[in-house]
Amino acid sequence: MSGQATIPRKRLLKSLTDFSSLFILFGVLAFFEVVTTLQGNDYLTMSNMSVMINQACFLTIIGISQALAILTGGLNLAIGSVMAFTTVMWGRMLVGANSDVHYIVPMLIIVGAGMLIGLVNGLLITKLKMPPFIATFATMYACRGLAWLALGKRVIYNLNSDFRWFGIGIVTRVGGFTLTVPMIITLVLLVATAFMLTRTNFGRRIYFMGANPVAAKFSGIPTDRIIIWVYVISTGIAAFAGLLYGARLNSFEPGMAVNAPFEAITVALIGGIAMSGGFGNIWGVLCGSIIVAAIYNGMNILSVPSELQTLVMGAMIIFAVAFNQLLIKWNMELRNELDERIAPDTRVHGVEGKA
Amino acid sequence: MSTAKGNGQGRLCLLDLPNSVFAFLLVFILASVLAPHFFSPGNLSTLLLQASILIILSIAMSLVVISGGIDLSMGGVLSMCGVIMALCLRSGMHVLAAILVGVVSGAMFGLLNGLCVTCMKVPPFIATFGSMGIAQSIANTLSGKRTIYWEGGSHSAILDFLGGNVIRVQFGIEASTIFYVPFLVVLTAVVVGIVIFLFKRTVLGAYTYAIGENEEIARLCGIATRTWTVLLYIISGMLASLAALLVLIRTNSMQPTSGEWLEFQAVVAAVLGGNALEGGKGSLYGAIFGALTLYVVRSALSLKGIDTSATMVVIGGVLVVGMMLNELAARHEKKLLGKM
Repeated sequence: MSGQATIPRKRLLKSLTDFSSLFILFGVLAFFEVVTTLQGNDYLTMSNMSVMINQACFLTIIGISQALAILTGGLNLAIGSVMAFTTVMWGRMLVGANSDVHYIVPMLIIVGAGMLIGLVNGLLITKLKMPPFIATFATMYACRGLAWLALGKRVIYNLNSDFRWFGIGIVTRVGGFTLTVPMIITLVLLVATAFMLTRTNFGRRIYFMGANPVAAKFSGIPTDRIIIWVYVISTGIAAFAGLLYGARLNSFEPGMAVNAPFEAITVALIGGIAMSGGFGNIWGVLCGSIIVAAIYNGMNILSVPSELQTLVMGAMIIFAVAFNQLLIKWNMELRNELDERIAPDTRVHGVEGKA
Repeated sequence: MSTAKGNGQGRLCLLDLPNSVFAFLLVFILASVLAPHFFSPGNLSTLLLQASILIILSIAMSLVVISGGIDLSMGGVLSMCGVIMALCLRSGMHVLAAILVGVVSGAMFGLLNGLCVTCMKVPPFIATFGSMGIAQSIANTLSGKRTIYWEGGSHSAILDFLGGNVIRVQFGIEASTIFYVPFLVVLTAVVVGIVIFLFKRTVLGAYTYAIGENEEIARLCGIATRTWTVLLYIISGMLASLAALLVLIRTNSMQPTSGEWLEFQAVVAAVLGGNALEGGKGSLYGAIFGALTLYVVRSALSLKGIDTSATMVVIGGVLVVGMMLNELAARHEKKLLGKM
């Protein structure tokens, strides 16, 4: 068959389409490098790269939270409000804390509280059959209100700063590049999530369910339980992201992170996670957030007014998703062709289907 | 549409009403009993006036939602069209020309959304989310992030007229006893009436349901699904610009941020009204009552003197309760249909 010869080439093409967001990243970096050099500014220096990546870390964490929800075919709009609610509670605990209670204890309580809100989300979606958009919108509204109520329109700031190491701590400097604690945390979280999604039964079931909920249900997968767990994890990560923001800014206010869920959606989708669910690589989220951070950073260096920055981001989202959509379609076609020629077991969802 | 409309079964009559009617009645009665001065002519008139902007937006949202899409750019388009109209008025353009410019720019944005969704195959959520940013950015850039005022004069006389009341009945001296119907409410009623007429009496309604239920089947049935989808987004953009006109007349100025969060409220109103986000199900009346429900809750809580932060929590709760009612009604309906 003439097809035999083209298999390696098709494999190469397929693995290229797996990294769709990398292409966007290189395009963006090249564009800003050229434009800033023409203007006589520096862009791709080591120190600026570390600033960009540090910013991207915070986006990545909320992006992971959102990506998990999107992979199940849902959405988590409550991220920003949960962040605000949890940091506000944390701030209150830190203000009123006894000196003999370590600050780790309230942190654990906070992440637990976030998971509880996630449980509410999951129950609303599965038991009341509310669309995820609406269910998480309701909790978003409620949590934002609770955050305002908890703090009564004040801002807590300038606390004793020994808890701040995990938001602003520096591990080491290599050349001009500063390796910070958030980068390490993000990396650990990414590796853990990637392991969960690709190497565990639970993760494979998330993909299967996102791709085809009906088929998943009829194959005996407890879809409700998986959805609830995913929202628990997703909202727990959001609560943790809130702690990171609090530690980074050393201020706790109820009005923070209003746009976080939308930034998270942007990051996840530019990173190649499909809105319909069941498709996407969690490492793409890292790529997506570096793209977003690079664009903002580049626009700031070029001193683009902030009004126009929203325009650029808006257009960017549409084009990135259209581009990813094309690549995903291509990837799927290639994958199916390859699957037909090689062993049937390597099909992505085949294993669970037969179990 | 899978509901059992017009089959002559008496016991299904009640369920022919949009579900949000029950939620609306529930909160309305609760508010009248619990909140002082809620059930007064003055307050009800104000409520209607306040809700009219959201009513127009939620009608537009339901059109798009029934077709299986979503239009998150509505708030941004509202800000943008309002700013454009206000700038036209400030430059001394005649009011009708200014409105025309505003509506055309709204329609253009709808066209952009529609083309992104149909030709570029971007999911509606993302396409309109992106264009929300674009529209908001245009509004901010044009206005320089400032509120825009204009000099009143002969060219804007119609606006002052529209800002007035059609009827004003005074039952007493206090503000709460004055019943009034502003022209804006009449304008809203006319716009809503036209849309509902088009929806019920032309193929628009049937096609919208068909596209929302299953776009592939609709296309195979010979409906030009792409054209109709684009048309729905254009209508949505035009209605957003009309809502901008209402804001403009009511406040006699235009802030570039007036549309913020309105698109989400419109989605909430539409969903409370029984419109399923996956498309193919729902009604326009439902969305109207959904919008009214939201405003009844808000008005009652503010009359009661409850903090706005607590209001957010309550509205979240109302949303959950409303969805529970919808789910209950749907189950009941399924049971009744099963018996037949």
